[in-house]
Amino acid sequence: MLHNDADFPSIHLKGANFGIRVVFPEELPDDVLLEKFESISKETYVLPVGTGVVLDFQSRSCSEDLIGKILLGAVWPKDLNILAWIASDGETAARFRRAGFKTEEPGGRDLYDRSETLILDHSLRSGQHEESFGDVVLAGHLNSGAEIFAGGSVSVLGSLKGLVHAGRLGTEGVYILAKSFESQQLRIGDRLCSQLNSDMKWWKKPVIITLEEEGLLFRDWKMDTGNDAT
Amino acid sequence: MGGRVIVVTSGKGGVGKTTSTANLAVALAKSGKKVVAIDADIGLRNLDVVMGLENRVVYNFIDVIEKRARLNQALVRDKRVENNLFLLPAAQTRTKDAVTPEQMAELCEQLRPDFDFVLLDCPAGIEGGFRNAAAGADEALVVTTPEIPAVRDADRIIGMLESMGKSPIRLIINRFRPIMVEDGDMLAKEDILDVLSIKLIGIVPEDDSVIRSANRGEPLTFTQTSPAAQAYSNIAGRIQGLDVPWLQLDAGRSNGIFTSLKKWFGF
Repeated sequence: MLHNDADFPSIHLKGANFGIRVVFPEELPDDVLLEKFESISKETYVLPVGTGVVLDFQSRSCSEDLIGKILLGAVWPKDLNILAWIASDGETAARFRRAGFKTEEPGGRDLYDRSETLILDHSLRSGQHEESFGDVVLAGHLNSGAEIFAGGSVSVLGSLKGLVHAGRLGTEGVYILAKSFESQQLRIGDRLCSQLNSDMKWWKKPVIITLEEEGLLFRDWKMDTGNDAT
Repeated sequence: MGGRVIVVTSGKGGVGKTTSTANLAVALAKSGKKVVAIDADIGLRNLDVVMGLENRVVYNFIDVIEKRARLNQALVRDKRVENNLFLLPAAQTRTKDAVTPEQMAELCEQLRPDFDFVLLDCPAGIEGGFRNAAAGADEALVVTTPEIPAVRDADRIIGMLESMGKSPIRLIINRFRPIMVEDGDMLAKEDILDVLSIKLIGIVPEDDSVIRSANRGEPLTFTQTSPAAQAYSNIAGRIQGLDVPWLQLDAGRSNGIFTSLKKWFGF
């Protein structure tokens, strides 16, 4: 069937914490949807962060025939890692489940749990930057101007003067631990706190910081060496 | 085996790189070493002024690199020191792009056999000028003042020098004011060393004579015995591996009128 591309809305690709969300417009005919989806180059799906693709059909229907064509025409040839098939149309969602597809939104926690811990045995100087999908343990100082972005928790076993973003994929059940807290900005999950200064009672103290509903929660970090009896 | 090539750098501007280069060059030359100080700050040269040699500059090292002059034509000899001290000026009318790191490294290799020390006065910043100056150096002297921005920039530069394989990298703390440290208004030596984690080679106290000497074009280490001159001479000794005692830098409050009044009133 001949058609003009301009007659139909485009497939939207959105960056997300898990990778890319492919949103199929509801009014797109099946053949046009297939053609547009197949024309997206494989390189488009390569992102520095994230691990896969979510196919979001919104409220449109997706027949078994279309599922087969999507798999044959785009998913398998491009070697896409499909994290979920999302549909608000009940029949379509049931069809996806019967096919054995994941139909829940991917959570950051899965990505975090699958990642390894990055252990750094040296201080990070100004301008130096480390990233990890998992936890990060820094056996040294995080100097002012240095950064750690982690999918999981971050432990700084020296002075924390630089910038830490724990749970950068949106994960909130993570913590930041510092032997000496001296940073003016912290990020956990999707929250940012920049109201930090030397007037805080936690300044230059060992702390563990978590994200609670009302904001960042600072607590004393007391090292238990297990030698109290001696 | 030739001389040692040392870059004097900082990251932040205005902390005393050029003053340190000039004073150390003079102090090393006075101790009998043959020294050349290279102004690597192309387009913003100052070392010739601080060393009092600006009126003797004919060629610069860009002229040497671009084959308009021979190396010995561009070297400016400082007649105040017995045939031991030379300046290789930068071009004032060019930019940092006029030279590549490879060309700077080659220039340093040409100078190395004829000198005991090649000191490179590095421009501020972390861009091409810094990379050019550092390219030919084996070692580095990082200059900082006891201020948080300067220490943070020094930290950045040290990280870059480490990644370039420069060793040793040693620290000069410049414009140090013990009285402010005592009052808690200035970073203490220990605070700076805790952040930067490199070996300290000297502390230069704040000294008005530094400004006077820069304006006169006569580095302190030529004649003076001011605290800063003494500190630079000591650093020059340590660069040569000598075990030089550290200057006693006290707050100097004991003779102050306010100290006496405080004691009188029991504060």
